Amino acid sequence: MRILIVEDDRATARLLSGLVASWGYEVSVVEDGKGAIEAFAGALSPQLVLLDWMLPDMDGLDVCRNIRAIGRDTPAHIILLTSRGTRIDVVAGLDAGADEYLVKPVDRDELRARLRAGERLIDLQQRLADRVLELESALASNRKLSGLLPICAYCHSIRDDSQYWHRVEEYVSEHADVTFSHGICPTCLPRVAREMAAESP
Amino acid sequence: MKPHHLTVVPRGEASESAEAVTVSSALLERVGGDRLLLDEVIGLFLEDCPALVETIRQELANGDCEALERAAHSLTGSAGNFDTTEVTGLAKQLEVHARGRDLPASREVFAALEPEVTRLLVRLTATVSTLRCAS
Repeated sequence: MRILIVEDDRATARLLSGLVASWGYEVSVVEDGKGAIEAFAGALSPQLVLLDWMLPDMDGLDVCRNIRAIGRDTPAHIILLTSRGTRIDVVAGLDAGADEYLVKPVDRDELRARLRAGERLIDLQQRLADRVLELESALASNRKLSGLLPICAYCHSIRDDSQYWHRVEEYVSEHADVTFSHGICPTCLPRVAREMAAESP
Repeated sequence: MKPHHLTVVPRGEASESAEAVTVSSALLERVGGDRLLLDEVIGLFLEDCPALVETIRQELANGDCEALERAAHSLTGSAGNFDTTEVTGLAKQLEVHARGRDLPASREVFAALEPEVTRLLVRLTATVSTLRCAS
């Protein structure tokens, strides 16, 4: 799983990246907001983000808003890090789009547990997104007959949305997952037999 | 850049006291026992901290409270990795005073903060020596 660390203090950044790499994550580190936003430009954007509150070029809240504005099918899980833990800050951080808020210095075990929880959420979102795709695809190929069908009272041709008349079997097989096998019913059999007899020389 | 005013204990003296310094278990715990990582992290702090303190000094002289608050906040965050309530406590106070645009109070806190930073730098320098001796 790909994790991005956005932290301008080199010691803190090294500590976090060292720990996170030892837990098996693919880590990249940037030191400002611009770098963070650029990291979301490509296809392989980060799935987890550890984002410092205060950065040299913009604050973490703005970075959060920018990342959320980019929009992804499976959004990144953003953990905001700060040395300030006031209630106002927590609310501001979550409102800006952060998923979680941790006060520095972050406890190692807590960080690991929260990253794992973030991974579970991302997996869940990915499975949901995959399922939606499956269902949409199934819906598109599962054509149903519904509504009021204009049908000729005499020959039973059906009129489609473009005002063309079609034989019943043609219309039904176009709009439903059916094929027809042509036989003859007991009512028609005597009549057709008589017509064929009359036609033969 | 102006030379900084911190007195850093010369390497020889630091090594002498290194034998008496055991690496704090809290610090080792923070890096999951990875001594190499700890060495690197401390090394980066030892490189960056003096410049940060100098920035604070300059912003106090300039009276730029916004920049002062940002620098103090950086110091709080950075020093916070090393279990030093003395430095982080004073750095947080400095942040608060800077936010409140109280320069006299900021200067007073800085006067107390600077020697604590020096003590921290000495302790960490000794810690690095211990880490390297042990390896």
